[in-house]
Amino acid sequence: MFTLATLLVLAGTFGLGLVLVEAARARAPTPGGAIERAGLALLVGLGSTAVLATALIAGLGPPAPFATRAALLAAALAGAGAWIRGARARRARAKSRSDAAAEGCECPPWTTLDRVLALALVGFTGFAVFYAASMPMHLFDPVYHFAYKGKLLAHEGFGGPSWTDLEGPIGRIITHPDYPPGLPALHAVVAAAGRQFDEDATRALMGAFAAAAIAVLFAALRPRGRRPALIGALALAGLPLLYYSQLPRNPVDFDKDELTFVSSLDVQPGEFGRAALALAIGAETAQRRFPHLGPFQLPDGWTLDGAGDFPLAALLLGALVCLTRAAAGARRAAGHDPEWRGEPAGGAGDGVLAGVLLGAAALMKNEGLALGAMALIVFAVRCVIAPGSWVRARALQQSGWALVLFVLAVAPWMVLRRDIPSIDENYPAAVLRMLGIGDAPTAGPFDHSPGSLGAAATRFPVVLMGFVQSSLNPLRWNLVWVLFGAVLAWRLARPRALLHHPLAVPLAVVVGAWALYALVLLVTPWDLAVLYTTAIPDRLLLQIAPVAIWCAVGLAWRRISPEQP
Amino acid sequence: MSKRDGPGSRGGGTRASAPPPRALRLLFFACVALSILPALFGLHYARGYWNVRAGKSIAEQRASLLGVNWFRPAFTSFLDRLDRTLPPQSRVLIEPVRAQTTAGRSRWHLFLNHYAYPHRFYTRQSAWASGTLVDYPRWIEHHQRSLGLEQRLADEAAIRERGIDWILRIPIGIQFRASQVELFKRGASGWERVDLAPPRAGAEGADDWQEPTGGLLFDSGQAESEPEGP
Repeated sequence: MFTLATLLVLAGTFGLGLVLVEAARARAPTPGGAIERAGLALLVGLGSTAVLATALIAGLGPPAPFATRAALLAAALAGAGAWIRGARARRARAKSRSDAAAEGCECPPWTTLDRVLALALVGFTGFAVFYAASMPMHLFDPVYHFAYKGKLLAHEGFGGPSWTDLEGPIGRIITHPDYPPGLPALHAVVAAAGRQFDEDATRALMGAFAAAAIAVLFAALRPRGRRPALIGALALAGLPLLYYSQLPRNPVDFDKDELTFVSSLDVQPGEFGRAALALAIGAETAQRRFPHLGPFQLPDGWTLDGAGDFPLAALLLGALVCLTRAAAGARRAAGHDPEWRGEPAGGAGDGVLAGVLLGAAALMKNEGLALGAMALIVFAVRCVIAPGSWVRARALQQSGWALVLFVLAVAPWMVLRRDIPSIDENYPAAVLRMLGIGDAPTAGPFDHSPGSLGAAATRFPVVLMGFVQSSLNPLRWNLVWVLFGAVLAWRLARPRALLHHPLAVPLAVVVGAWALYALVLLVTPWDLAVLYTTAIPDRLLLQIAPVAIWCAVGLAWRRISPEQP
Repeated sequence: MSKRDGPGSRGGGTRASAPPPRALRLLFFACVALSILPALFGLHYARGYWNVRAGKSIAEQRASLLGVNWFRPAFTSFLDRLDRTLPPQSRVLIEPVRAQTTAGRSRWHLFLNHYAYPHRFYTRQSAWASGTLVDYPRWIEHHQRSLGLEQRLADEAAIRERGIDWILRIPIGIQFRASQVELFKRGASGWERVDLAPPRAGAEGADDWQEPTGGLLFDSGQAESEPEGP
């Protein structure tokens, strides 16, 4: 729900983001358009608020209502000032040269198709905001994994027995105690701003994450043309998994287990048809008109209910856009590579923003830490193999900024986490166990963690089929992963060009993330067939879906350098 | 000016990029066109919101989510009675009893832990109680089979050490039966049974659990807005 607290937090975080983005982009060769700056400011604001709140609560305890309100108000005013100053500076700069030309985007007349796509994009973005703000938080993970911890941060802070008293014969109750506290910190800020805990007020922020990601994706693709930008942004805004994962007709088979999962899989086109029918005419109408095909339910899903997957996805997208800008700035400054020439160029400020965003992503869900580290490593490797020592030095300097901010952002949580027990899904320990290092598996009827590489290998077909079953489901992804695979296969015909493409780093992160998720599923203690009934691996793939859409569209619409006929 | 630069050209009519081959382009448009299903979902959702939840309090809106069992009146009414019975920030040990299932929807200890905060809830083997569905059956089994008198006596020291003065015994099932919940308070002669505060006026029948009919997850109000014909 949009409450006064939600609006104050939105204004404050947006203001903070504007201050940071305007400062970071003050000296950038191309500062970016209004849509990009607004989307990025929202992401940076929400992300840096989560980072700052985590650090402050760790150091000072639960946020005080008066101080929180004053800080949010001050940030909102500072943001307005920064926007006005930035606009003046850009106007002054525009007198000497056209920013639009510098960004490599041209503005041909709007076609009817462009208008339809734009209308659909605005409609979906508005619906995402409305959907997040109008439904009470009601699903298990958002409430018990995230909102409950927000309640703890708002009332007790970190470090008490609520977080740590778990290992004796008698103890407290807390699910996934070592889930990172980024979203709970936002819950605590909203609670302090509103003087009472209200998980539904925080749920409305999910719509801001969605709108910001859509804006950043549109802006990142805009230099390739208006239509590819509209298509890419619409592919994200209209993504079914953004709104629902539990379909109107969901034949969940809890009797299936992973030992029989692959052999018992069968394609049932009728199930897709029935679910599509209910989506098209409404679940209740379907139930009334076709009771023999039911039961039908209104579809539902985690993404905008308050789980960490989509905020992580949005922040990762923002971080990789900034990293790519930073790299483009280094290359442009050195005059290298005509194919980079049209890319929007940033400077050290974009490296700083990327670090903040990656740090915030790491505070949203545990996978964020691995994805952030992977992005920085891939970017650094890319810097090392870049042509020209000056480019290498400049790009490494920018990745250094990103690394420093990333480490600073996650450091408080890493320190706190040492005292919090990992009680159920301890994946690093499970990987070591699979490799024969560390403790023997606890096994038993409920723990399916493999105790050896051989045992893990027997799980591989189940993991593979899980990915295939998920990524090919058009009622969850439309054709996003099919497209990603098709574009990748098409561009792999010229591997050298792909290696030097501006989107090589985001592409490598997407591919690496698939490998990471496969490893996680190989060692999970869950029965995989049961796990798949909870929208895994869909929820994992969602974390990289915006980046995958960016890569698919960006690789498909090849840039033409100005000299090319 | 080439044809690509014209207003009706493909790929956005811009020189900034070259469009992909036709097959890929078709795939992109098919991907976007499939968004019609989420768009229709959005329309149905907005209509349901308008019919049922618009303008209502958060408690009424939550109650309309028929498939969410921690928003059912049987549970929300119990939370209110429990809060009126316990002193502020009480420390309560939860014991699951008479388990009929280990389904995720029967994890009432988790639901209480969140919605009855700031009362502090404790359990035996809390790591299993806090774990995923992987650990939940283990926790139930511990209470059903492994928990003998000897273990209970051994746990008593830990219970005292944490200042726990209340025990709540909850029957484990998909449906929440407040009438079968037992509350005990530490007294001079041991644990004494305590009655919960009575339901508020108008909430007396909240213990009657009724599953939503027709597999409905949400009350979209369509039945009221579109009555069946004669």
